[in-house]
Amino acid sequence: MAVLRQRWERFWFEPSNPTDLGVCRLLFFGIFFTYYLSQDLSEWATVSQAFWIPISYFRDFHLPVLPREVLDVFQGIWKAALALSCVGLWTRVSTLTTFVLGVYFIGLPHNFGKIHHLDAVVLLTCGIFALSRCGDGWSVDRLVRASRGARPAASGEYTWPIRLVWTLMALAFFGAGVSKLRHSGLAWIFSENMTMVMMQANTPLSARIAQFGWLCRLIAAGTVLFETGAPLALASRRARWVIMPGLFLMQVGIRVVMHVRFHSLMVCYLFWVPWQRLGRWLTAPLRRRASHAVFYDGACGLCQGTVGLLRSLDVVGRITYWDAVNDWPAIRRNFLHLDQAACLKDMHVTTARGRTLMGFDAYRALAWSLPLGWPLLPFLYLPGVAWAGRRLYGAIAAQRSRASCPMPVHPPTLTGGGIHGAQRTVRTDAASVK
Amino acid sequence: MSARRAWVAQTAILVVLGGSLYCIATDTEYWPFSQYEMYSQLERSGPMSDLQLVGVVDGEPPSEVPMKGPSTIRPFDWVRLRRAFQRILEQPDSATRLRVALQDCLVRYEARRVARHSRRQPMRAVRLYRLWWDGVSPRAPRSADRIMRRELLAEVVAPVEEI
Repeated sequence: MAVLRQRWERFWFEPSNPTDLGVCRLLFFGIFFTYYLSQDLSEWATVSQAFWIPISYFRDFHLPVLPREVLDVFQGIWKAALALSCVGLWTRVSTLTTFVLGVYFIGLPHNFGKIHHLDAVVLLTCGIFALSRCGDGWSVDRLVRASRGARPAASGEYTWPIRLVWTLMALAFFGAGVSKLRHSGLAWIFSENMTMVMMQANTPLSARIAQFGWLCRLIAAGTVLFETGAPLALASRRARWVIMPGLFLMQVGIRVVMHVRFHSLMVCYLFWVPWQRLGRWLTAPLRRRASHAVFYDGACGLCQGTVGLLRSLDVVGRITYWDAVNDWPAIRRNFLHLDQAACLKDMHVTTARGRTLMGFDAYRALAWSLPLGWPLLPFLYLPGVAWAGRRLYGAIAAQRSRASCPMPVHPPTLTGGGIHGAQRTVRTDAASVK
Repeated sequence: MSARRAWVAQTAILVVLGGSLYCIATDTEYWPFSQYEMYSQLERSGPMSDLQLVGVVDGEPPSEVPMKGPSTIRPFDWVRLRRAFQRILEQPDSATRLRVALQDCLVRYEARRVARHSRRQPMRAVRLYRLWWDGVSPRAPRSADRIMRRELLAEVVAPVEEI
């Protein structure tokens, strides 16, 4: 029993960092925002009640079709919440709004005839996001918190939502496989069933496949095998590498052959991608290149916040950070030309080619190094921007003093471990050490 | 994770697991939980049938135009509308309901056509057919020339002033 419990907790609450969940949030809500943006769901208010056959909670809670004007307002709020959830601004509120209004808007069309089962996975995934800490990675909220010096630690908080979407998908496939065997038995595979399904689909390719009985039976067998075997992908890493790509290709195949679309469910495959590992692999050549070095006043709250922000934006990990207060002996050994007083006065950047820049020019050099800063580059080189930037930086730097820029007071952050690994640690930094 | 957060996560996990497994075990659906029974019934060879929605436009003689594209049946898509008609046909008051539903399709089409100053021709009626065709042989793919029978299920004519 203890072993089972341990495995349960390891599966759901194995500590991980927020990157994968954050990337999934960004892509999931981004795709659905784009999808729903052009759809006018308030049009359902104009459809006759003759089509109204309410589903589950619409029936049980007597939820009506609201007037078009009301739907227009709530639809606007819902789409705005989808956009905010995507970028991760006020993430807790926006994901909760997305889910609560999604219960109505995603469910509404299903009361008019056909129930698209796969939207169900989307709605439940919205619910999972609403309960999760998905705004801790790849979000505006994260950048705001980073500028205050907070950095999220690895936690089970970032594991269970992803694993729950995995489980949801695996159970959807498993249910489909079990339904086939329950209603039709092995005849679903070995009879002419798949031949007839292909003929019903009535596309040039399905009609061609329907001419080969053995191929239709092979496709049917593969379908049932992969669907009923889907839960194995949760338990075995090796099975995962076979089953999930297999199911993905199966759905692509159905789209090509039968023109049946699984858009909603296919979006959820992004939860199976190890984004952080993939990112590291893709950016390895960039990381191997010489990087920039940033020198900052580690006893200044503003500088600490700026460095926190830079760390969040530095997704490739090409920049090294040197605290000109605490790391000075090491800086002195490696960068003979630098002066500590100057580094404490202005943020310095030493480029890969050995050039040392300060203030606005340092920031502009950093924008070249940060992929997330690339969109800013054209703006930073506009005539007059450098002039204004240097003056702005000078004004802020002149105002800055250790008294006016106190070190951020971090609340105790929960770090480490899984469900039982919670331990309270208080962050320490240069100023508190001093 | 704090104890409170762990409780929230465990509850979410149990609700999703419980709901999904219950629907699979009992072969029931309570959307968004489902047993995902699509395509689970055995398809047998024999005559196949499908529904077809057409609009009747003026001309000599009047012609029928299939109403299948999203622009003619919004906010429905054809898959949803076809299933909606199928479900209406299963209802006890299907005759009345079907006429109201067809009337609704006609009214919405015309309203959209007028509102958008569309060049489409006005429709004087909409008809719902059930098509039957030969599905015995896999070498007989479904096509217009294989249709064996066309059964008119309902027709709604627009009032004269709307035409």
